[in-house]
Amino acid sequence: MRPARWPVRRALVILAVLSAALLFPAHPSAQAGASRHAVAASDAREARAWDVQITRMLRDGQLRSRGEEADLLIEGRSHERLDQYHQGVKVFGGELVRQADGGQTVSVFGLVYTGIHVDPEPVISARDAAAIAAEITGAVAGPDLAPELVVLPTDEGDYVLAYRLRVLTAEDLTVFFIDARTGKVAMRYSDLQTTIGTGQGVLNDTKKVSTTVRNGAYLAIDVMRPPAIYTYDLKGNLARTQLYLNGLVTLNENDVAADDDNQWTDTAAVDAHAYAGWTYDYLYKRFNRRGLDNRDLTMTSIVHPVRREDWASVPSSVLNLYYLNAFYAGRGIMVYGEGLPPGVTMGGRQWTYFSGAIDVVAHELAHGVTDYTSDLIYRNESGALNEAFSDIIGTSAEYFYQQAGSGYMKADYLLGEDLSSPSGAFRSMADPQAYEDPDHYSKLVTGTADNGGVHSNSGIANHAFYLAIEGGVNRTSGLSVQGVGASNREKVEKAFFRGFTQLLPANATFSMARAATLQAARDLYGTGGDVERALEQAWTAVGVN
Amino acid sequence: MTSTRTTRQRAVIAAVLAVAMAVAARPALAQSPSQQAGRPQPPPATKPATKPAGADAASQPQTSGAKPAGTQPAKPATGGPQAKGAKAPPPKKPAPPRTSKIWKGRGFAVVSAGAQVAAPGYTSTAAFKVHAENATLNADASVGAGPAFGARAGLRVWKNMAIGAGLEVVPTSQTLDVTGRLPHPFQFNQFREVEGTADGLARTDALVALELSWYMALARRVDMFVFGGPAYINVRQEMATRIRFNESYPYDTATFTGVDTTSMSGGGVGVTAGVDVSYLVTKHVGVGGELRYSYASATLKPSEQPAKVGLGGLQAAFGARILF
Repeated sequence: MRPARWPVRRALVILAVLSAALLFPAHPSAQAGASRHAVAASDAREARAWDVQITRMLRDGQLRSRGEEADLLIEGRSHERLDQYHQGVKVFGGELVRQADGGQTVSVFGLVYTGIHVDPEPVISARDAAAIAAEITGAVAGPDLAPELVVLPTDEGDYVLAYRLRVLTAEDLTVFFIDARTGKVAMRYSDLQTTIGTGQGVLNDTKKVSTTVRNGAYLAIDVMRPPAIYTYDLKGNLARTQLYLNGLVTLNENDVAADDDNQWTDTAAVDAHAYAGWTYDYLYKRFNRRGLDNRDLTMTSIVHPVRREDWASVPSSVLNLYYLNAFYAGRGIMVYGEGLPPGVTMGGRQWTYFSGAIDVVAHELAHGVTDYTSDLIYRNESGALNEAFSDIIGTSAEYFYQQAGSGYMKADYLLGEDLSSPSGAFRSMADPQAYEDPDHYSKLVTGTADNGGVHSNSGIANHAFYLAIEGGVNRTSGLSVQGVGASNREKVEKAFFRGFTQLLPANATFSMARAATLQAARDLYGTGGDVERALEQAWTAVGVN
Repeated sequence: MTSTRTTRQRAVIAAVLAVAMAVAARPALAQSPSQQAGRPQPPPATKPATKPAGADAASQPQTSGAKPAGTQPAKPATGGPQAKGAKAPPPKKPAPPRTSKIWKGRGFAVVSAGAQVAAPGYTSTAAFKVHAENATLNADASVGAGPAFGARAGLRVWKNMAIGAGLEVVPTSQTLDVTGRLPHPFQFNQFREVEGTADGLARTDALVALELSWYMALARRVDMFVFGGPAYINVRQEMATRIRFNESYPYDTATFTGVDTTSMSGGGVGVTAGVDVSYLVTKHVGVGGELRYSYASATLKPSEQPAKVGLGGLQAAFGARILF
C-alpha cells in the first residue's frame, strides 16, 4: 500500500501549475463592460471572429464604413474605419478600425456600444440646438458647422439622443451636446488642445511657445494665459495688414502663424508670440495687472506685414513704419517691422525682425497699458512721458527676464540694442546724450517734429528712472543721486508704474510726473523712505521740480 | 505592458519546477520500517518448531510448518495456519511517539493563509516630458501589509531532511511618496517642485521556491520544520511613470494630484527561509503556522531609468498540515 505518495505528487503538480499560472498570466485582449465592448482583436482567430461580426453589423446597418485607406508604411495593407449607428443615428465614439492584408483581416480595434434603447426621432431641430449653443457662448456657428444628430453615451452609462456642435469663441473651442429632446446641455467639453512647443528666436535662442492644435497644425494661439494671445502672419500682404489695422477686414485662423511640428522656425513669430506672453507675465507678477486693459484684453501681434525683399521698392514711409519700426496700433494690436534682408544696411547697421527684442515688445505693449490708464496725449511733454513709460516698462521687462550685462540678450538701459548688427540702440536711459536725447529738462526739445520731440524728451524721465535705481551723476546738472540699488529696482518700477498709470492725467507734464511718482513712493513705501529720497534726487538732477 | 523577465530567470523557474516535478514523480524506494507502519508487519525470524524428516528445501515446496533444509534460515510463515507448536509472534509494537527525534514520515503538505507583515520598499525615478521639457519623478515606495496565500510540499530524502517546493502569493498594495520637478510652461529651467502621496497601487508577489526542510519534533503532537532555499519571486505591480498635477496661471507652482502608472512585471532569484510549526489533530492531519522571509530583487524599467525593486518580505500564515 502506498497511499501517501500520490497526494504529494498531486500537491506538487498543483503547485507547478499554479506557479506557471502566476508567473505567466494571460493577457486579456478585450475588456467587456455592461454597455460597451472594447475590441482588441489582434490574433488571427479573434480577427476572423470580428470579421464575421462586422459583416453582420454592416448588413444590419449597425456599422457604416467611413472609407478605406492604404497603409503608408506596409504595402498591401489597408485600414478601414467603421462607425457605429443606432437606427440610422451615429453613435458618438462607437467605432471599429479594421486592418487588412490583401483582403485578410489582420486586426480589429475599437469600441462598440450595446444595449442602446434610444428613440432616434429628435424633438428639437438642429437649428434650435445651434441657437441654444449660441445663447450660451454668444458665438454663432455658420451654416457649414451644422449640428450633427448623434447617440451620446454618457458618463453615467446610459444614452442620450443629442446634437453635437463645435463653437469657437475668443476664449475657447467648445463641443456641445444638446439633448435632442429636452434642449438641455447633455455634455460639453473644450476641444482646444493647447501645447507648448519650442522655437528659435530671432537671435537663435530657443524659447517655449504656447500654441494650440487645430486640424493637425500648431497655431500661435496662446490660451494658457488669461488673455488669448494671437500672433498673425500676414505673409507680407501690406494691403491686408492695413485693412485689418483699419478695421476693414477680420483675420481668421488661416492668418494665424502656424507650424507643422511645433518646432517653430519662424523666428519673428516665435519672438512676437513669446515676448507678448512674457510681457503679460511681467505686468501680472510685478504689478498684479491683468494685461493692457487690466481685463485681459486679447493681445494680437502682427508679423511679416511686408515682404523683406520689397524693401528697396517701397516708399520711405512704408520702410520706416513696416520695416524699421514696431508700433502699437490700438485694441491690443502690435505690429512688428520686418527688418531688412541680410547684408542690407541702413545707418551702417543690419536690421533684423523687430519682434526680436523683449524691450521693444514690452515697450509697444506698454503703450497699450497707457491707452487704458492715463492715456497720455501723444505730443509734447505728455507724449514724452508716454514714450518714457514705455521705455521704462520695456527695460524693466528686460531686467525681469535677462541677466544684466552688455551685448545681445543682456539686460541694460539701452532700447532696441538687440535688433541691429553691429549692436546699436535707439536710446539710452543711462546716458541719453549719447543718442542726442536730452538728459535734463533745460535741454527739452521743442517744435513740431516727432510730436514735439516725444522720442527725445523721453530721455529726461528715462534718466530720472535710471538714476533712481542705479544712482550716479547727471551730466548736465552735475548733481549726484543715491539710487536704491539694482536689487531694489522693483520699488522704483512700482513707483513709476503707479504714478504713471494711476495718478497722472492725460495732459501731464514732467513736473506732474515728478509729483506723481513721489506720491506713489510715499504711498507704497512710506514718507521719507529711500525710494522717495532717490526719486526726489533723480528728478532734481534731471532738472524737473 | 513590459515584461522584464529574462531568459535566465525563466530558466531558473523552469529548473525549480522541474525539480519539484521530478521529486513528485520519484518512484518509491525501499521503505524503512517506519514507512511500513500500519502495514502488516512480518514476524521476526524464529526457530521452526519441527523439522520434517527427509524434507529438502531445495526440492520441496515450502509448506506450512515445513522446515527449510540445511542451514538456510527459516522463511517466515506468512499466511496459512501456523505450524503446530510454532511460537506465536510477538504483539505488534505501538507506533513510536511523535516526540521521536527521528522523522519517520514520508513527507508533508502545507496550505496556509495569512498576511505579509513587512516587505522591502524601493525607489524609482522617471523622466517624462512636460511643457516641452523633461520633468522628473522620484518615488519612494513602501509595500503595505496584505494577505498571503501559500502552499508547500516535500518528501523526506534523508534523515529529517525533506526536499520540496513552496509557492506563495501576496497580493498587496503600495504607497508612493512622490517628489517631482515640473517644468514651467513658458520658461526653460524654471521648475516647480511638487510632492504628494499616491496609494493603492496594486502589487502581487508570487514566489516559487525549491526548499530544503528540516524536521524537528517539539512535543508529542507538535512538529516544526525549518526550511529555506533558493526562490524565484515574480512581481506584477503598478509603477509610477509620470506625475499628474494641477496648475493655473501664472504657473509658478503646481499641485500634485496623483501619478500615472504602468503595470510591469519582472522577477529575480533570491532566497527564502522560514519556520513552520504544526499541531497534529489526527495522525496525519493538523494545523500550523508559518513564518517566512523571502527576498529577491527585480529590475523594472518604468521609464528610461531602471528601478531595482525589492521583492518578498516577511509573511505569517496559518493553515492545514498533512504529514504522512
